[in-house]
Amino acid sequence: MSINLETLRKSPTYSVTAAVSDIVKDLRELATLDRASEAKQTEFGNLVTKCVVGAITSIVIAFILMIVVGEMGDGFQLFGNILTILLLCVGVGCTIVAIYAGIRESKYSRFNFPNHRYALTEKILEMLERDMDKEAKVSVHLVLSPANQDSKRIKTVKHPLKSGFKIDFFQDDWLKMEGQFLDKTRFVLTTSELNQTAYGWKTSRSGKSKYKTKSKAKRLDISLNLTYPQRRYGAIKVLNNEAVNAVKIPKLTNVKRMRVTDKGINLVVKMSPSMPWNQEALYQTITMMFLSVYQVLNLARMLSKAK
Amino acid sequence: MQIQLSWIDPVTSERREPLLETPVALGREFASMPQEIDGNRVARIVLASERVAEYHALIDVANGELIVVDQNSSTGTLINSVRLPSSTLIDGDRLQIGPYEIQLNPSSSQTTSSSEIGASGECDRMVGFLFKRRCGRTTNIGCPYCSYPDNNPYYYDYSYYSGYGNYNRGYWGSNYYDNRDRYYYDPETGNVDFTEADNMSLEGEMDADFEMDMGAS
Ligand SMILES: [Zn+2]
Repeated sequence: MSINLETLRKSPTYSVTAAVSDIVKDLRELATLDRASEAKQTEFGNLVTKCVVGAITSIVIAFILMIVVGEMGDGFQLFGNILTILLLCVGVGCTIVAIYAGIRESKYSRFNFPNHRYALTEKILEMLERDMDKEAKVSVHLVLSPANQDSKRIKTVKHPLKSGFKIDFFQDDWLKMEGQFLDKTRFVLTTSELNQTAYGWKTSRSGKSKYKTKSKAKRLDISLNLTYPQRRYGAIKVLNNEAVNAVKIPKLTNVKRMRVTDKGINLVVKMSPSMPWNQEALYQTITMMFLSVYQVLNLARMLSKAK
Repeated sequence: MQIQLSWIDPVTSERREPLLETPVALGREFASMPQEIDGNRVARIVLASERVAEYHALIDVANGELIVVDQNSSTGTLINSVRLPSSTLIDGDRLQIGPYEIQLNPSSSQTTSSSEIGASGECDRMVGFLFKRRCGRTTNIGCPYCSYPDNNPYYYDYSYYSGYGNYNRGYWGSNYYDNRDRYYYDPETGNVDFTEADNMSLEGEMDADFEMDMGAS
């Protein structure tokens, strides 16, 4: 078991080299943890809302009472004052609970990982396992922190159109998976997500300044690298120029690079932001990349027999 | 000969992948198709559509090859989109009969058998997702194909890449596939040799190929 709460709290990254079945177990545990923290987050979030409403209501009523009590007769004043103090106490109590709940909420929010990342990893592993030795070890490096986290900023530029605005670019290489198939082919699968955030002070017509920030997705690159035994697939060189025509990938994705040699293939596919980067789209694209590459390799195998 | 046909029922959208022993008759009316041909029991497949003749086509073996013969149907039988009265069939070929698009499954006809455990006591099925290999299990337990004898366990993933593993006419790589027996690879030198067809080989040896052949032998 590699899921360690403390480590994940410090840096939300899951990194392991193990058999697929063990990794899948871990990822399921991570999913359970994530679901539980999502529930807790909602629970504390609701508590914050309730307490803030309670605090404001009791303090407002206390103030009204203070004013009203001043104009009342002596007999009512004592009772009125006690009631005011009680209400103020309730208000302070609610505020304290709200702060506590807020802290708990933000603590749980750290465990709220993007669900599609670990769910996708599990699905891909189960797909690749079909052609792997049961005992074979796979390396997985899965980053679960937000894509626009400060540490992922790669550069900042001036906004080309809006003066006073800047754009931050973020690169999130959130998945790297490495392993070996039964045909002794080694695979390395990586994803790299590019996002940008534009921000700056905007002056409205009335002369008021307002801070504006806008994030958007740029592109998602998926790279598949295969290194295979020459003896088995070496004749692939005759297919070099035509290999790219065997590639089938979903609409709204493009082949960014394809390099074929008698030792390996590198296929890089670019997903445009007009495509949802969800689990289904990613799984489909990655599966099609593996099938495309093996459509070439399986033919190369037929041409690679010795005399 | 055992074959596996695969199609999606146009009405129910269900995938059918029966393993069949030739001869195989295809038609709309069960009773209109022959029960026996040359003493062999006929597997009769009913395709429910007005555009399919009562007895539409027959798949059988002639001279060791698989053939399909149209039974003078009015809508015809299309083999890989070409209407032909009869044609030989190879792995991956597509038959169009009325609204039915039927594929001759690649791994099944020669390499897979329905009796999973062969004479050697090991499973003879070809298994694997990206590349095929002999199962070799001594029991059916854990074999994805044995658990789904009539179905492809990876059907949904394969549906992303239509024609996966098919290099026939009209598919990517068909010109290499057709000549696959003429290619040789020398892992020592990294050279790929291509042997011309027999009637060409004499001429070939006269010129540039001469040296290459010497080097490889
Ligand atoms: Zn088996």
